[in-house]
Amino acid sequence: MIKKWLTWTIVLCLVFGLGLKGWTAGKTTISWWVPNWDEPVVRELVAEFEEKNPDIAVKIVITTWDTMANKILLALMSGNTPDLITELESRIKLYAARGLLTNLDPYYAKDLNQDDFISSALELNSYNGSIYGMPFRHDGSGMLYNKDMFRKAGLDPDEFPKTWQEYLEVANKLTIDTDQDGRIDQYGLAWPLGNQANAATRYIQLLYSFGGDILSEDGSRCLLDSEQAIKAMQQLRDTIVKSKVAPRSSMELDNTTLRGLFINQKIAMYVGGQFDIAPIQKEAPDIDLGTAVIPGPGGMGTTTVNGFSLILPQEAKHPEEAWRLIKFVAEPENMARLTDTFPGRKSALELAKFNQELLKPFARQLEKGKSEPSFNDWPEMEKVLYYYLQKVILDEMDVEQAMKSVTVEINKILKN
Amino acid sequence: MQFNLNLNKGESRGYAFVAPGVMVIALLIIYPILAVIYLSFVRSGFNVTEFVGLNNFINVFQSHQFAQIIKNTFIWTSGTVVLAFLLGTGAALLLNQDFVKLPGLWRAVLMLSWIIPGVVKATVWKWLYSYDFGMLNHLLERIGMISQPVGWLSNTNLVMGTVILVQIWATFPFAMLMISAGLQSIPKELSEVAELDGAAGLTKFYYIFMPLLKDVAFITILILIIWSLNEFALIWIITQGGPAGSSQILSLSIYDKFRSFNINGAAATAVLQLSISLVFAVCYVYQAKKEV
Repeated sequence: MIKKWLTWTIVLCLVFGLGLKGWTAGKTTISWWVPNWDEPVVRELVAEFEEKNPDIAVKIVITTWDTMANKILLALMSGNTPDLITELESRIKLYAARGLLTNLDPYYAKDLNQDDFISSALELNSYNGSIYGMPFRHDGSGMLYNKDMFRKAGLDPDEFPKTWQEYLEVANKLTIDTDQDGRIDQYGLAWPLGNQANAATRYIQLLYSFGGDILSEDGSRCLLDSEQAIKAMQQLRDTIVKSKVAPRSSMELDNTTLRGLFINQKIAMYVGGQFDIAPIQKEAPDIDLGTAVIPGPGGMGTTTVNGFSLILPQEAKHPEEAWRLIKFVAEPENMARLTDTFPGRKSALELAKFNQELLKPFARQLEKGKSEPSFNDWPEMEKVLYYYLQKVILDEMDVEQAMKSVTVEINKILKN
Repeated sequence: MQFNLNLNKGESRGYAFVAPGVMVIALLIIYPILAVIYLSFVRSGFNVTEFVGLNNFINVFQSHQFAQIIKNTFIWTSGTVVLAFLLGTGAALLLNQDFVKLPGLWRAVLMLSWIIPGVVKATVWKWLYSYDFGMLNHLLERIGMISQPVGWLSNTNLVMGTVILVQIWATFPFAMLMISAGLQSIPKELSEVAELDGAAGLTKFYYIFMPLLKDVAFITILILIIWSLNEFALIWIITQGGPAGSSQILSLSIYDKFRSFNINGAAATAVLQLSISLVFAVCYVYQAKKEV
C-alpha cells in the first residue's frame, strides 16, 4: 500500500515538475537586488510587471543596509552580477568610473525624458556626461521653523528669510530672554555638532552654499583651505561664539536631540529633513510648523542630497529585459509608490502624495542639491574635519589655521 | 590545580552534561578573541589580507591622540574606582550604624542609581549637564554658586570630570553592597568585645574592620577597575569622546577606529585593552581562588 502511494507521489511530482518547467520555458528570468525596506512595495510592483510582461520572470534578492555596499561592489568586480540592483545614488560615480555599469544614454534616448528628472538627481547618476542610473528616490535637507515664534517677534511667519544675511538677522530677533532673568531662553537656531556625521553634513551644506567643495574635481587634492571653506566655517562658528544666536549646547546635540529642542520650543529654526515633520506634528501638535528652503549667500543655498537608483551592471545577462523593468518602475505612479521620501522625477513630484504644503519647500530645495561626499576614505576624512570643527567652535583654534590643518591631514590620507 | 582524570561514574556523567554548554561558550568567547588577535596582526584590504607584524600596534602608538587617550583612560579608571569605592564604603559603614533607622530601605534607595539601565542613566545626565538648558546649571545659578553657566560637556578641561562623576554615581552602590555584606559577616560580639577593651572609633575600624574586610575590598576594587576600563555606553552617549577627543578612552577609541573602517587598528587597540584588563582579571581570579 505504502509503496503504491510512494509511486504515485513520485509520478505526480514528475508531472508537475515537467509541467512547471514547460510553463517557465520561453520566459527570461532576471534577478533584482532590493534592500529590505523596499521589499513589500517591490513585490507588488513585480507582480504587476510580470502580469503585463508574461515573457519575463523577476527573481527578487533582498539586501540590507549594512551589507549592501560590500556585496554590490564585490558582485560588480567579480562580474557575477544580477541584472538589476537598487543602490545608493552617491556610490554610482565610483562604479561608473571603474566601468562596472551599463551606460544608459541610449536607453534614456529611446524611452525616458531626461529633462523630467530632478537636476541634482541626474547629476549624482552621471559620470563623464553619461547617465548610469535611474533615480527613483531622492531627498535632501530644508528649514523647519516655528511660526508662532515669528509672530511673537513681530516677523511675518510666511516670509522665511531668503539670504544667509537675512537669516542671521532674523535669528538675532528670535534669540530672546523670555522671562527676563538675564539668561537666553529661546535661541534663533541650533546645530547638531555633538555628532560627527550630523555636524559634517551641516558644515558641508554651508560649504556648498558658499560655493566651496571638499576635494578638487579629480579627487587628488583637498580644497578645505579655500576662501569659501574658511568663510563657511567662520559663519558656523560665529553663530555660536560671536553673535550667539545658536546655543553653546549645539556642541552636545545630534539631529534627534536638536529636534527635541525644537519640540520643546527652545529654538525657532533649524536645518532638518522631511522626516522631521511627522515626529514634530506628533509630539508637539500645537507648534505651528513652517518649512522653507535653506538660505544661502545669494538666495537659495545648496543642500547635500542622496537617494536610491536602479543600476544595470555592465555584466548583466539580460539588459534589455532589465531595462523594461526599470522603465516600469520609472513610471511616475510606480516611482511615487516605491520612494519613502521624494521621487527622482518631476512629474512624479506633482502627484498628490507629495503635494502637501510642508513638503513643497523640501521638493523645491532639490533643484539646488549636491552629492554627499562618497570618496573611498571619507569616513577617515570626516573624522579629521570633525576634530578641527570642534576645536574651532570651542574657540581653541583660529578658523584659518584649523582649515589649513584639516587640508594637510586630508591630503595625507589621499596620498596613502 | 591538578586534573584527576580518574572520574567516578557520577562525575563523568556530570561532565558529559555540561560539555555542550562549555563548548558553546568556548566557541562564543574564545573564537572571537582569537579572531581579534588575528586581525590585529594583518592588514585586510579588498579581497586580500597580508601579514604586517606589529605595524598595526605601531600605528596605534604613533597616532597623535594616543597619549591623550592613555592619560584619559588612567584618569578615568583611577578616578572612578577610588571615589566610587570610598563613597560606597562610607555609605556601607553609615548604614551599619545602630542609629540608622530602616537600613534596608536606605540601601534600596541608594541602589537605584546602579539598577537604572545604562542608556537611561547616560541620557538623563546628558540633559542635566546641558550648557544652556540643563537642570544642573540652572540649579547652581539659582542658589548663587555660579554666575555663568558651566560648560560641563563643552569645556575640554572639565568634561573628563563630568563623566567620571556619572560613573561614580552609577557604580558606588555596588561597592556599598559588597562592603555591607562584608560588614554583616563580622560578628557583633567581636566589636562589643573590642569596645570592652577600650577600642573605639578609628581604632576599632583599624584593628577589627580593616583586616576582616580586606579580601572583599580587594575583589570589589578589581571588579570596579575592570568595569571602568570596559565602560563604553556611558561616555559614548554623553560626549561621544568629545569635544575634540578630550573624553576619549581606550574602549571608545576601538569603536572610533572601527567606525572609520580601520578594522585592523581597532583590533590592535582591542588587544591592547584586553591585555590591560587581563592583568586585573588574573589578580581577580587568583584572589577569588584564595578565598575558597
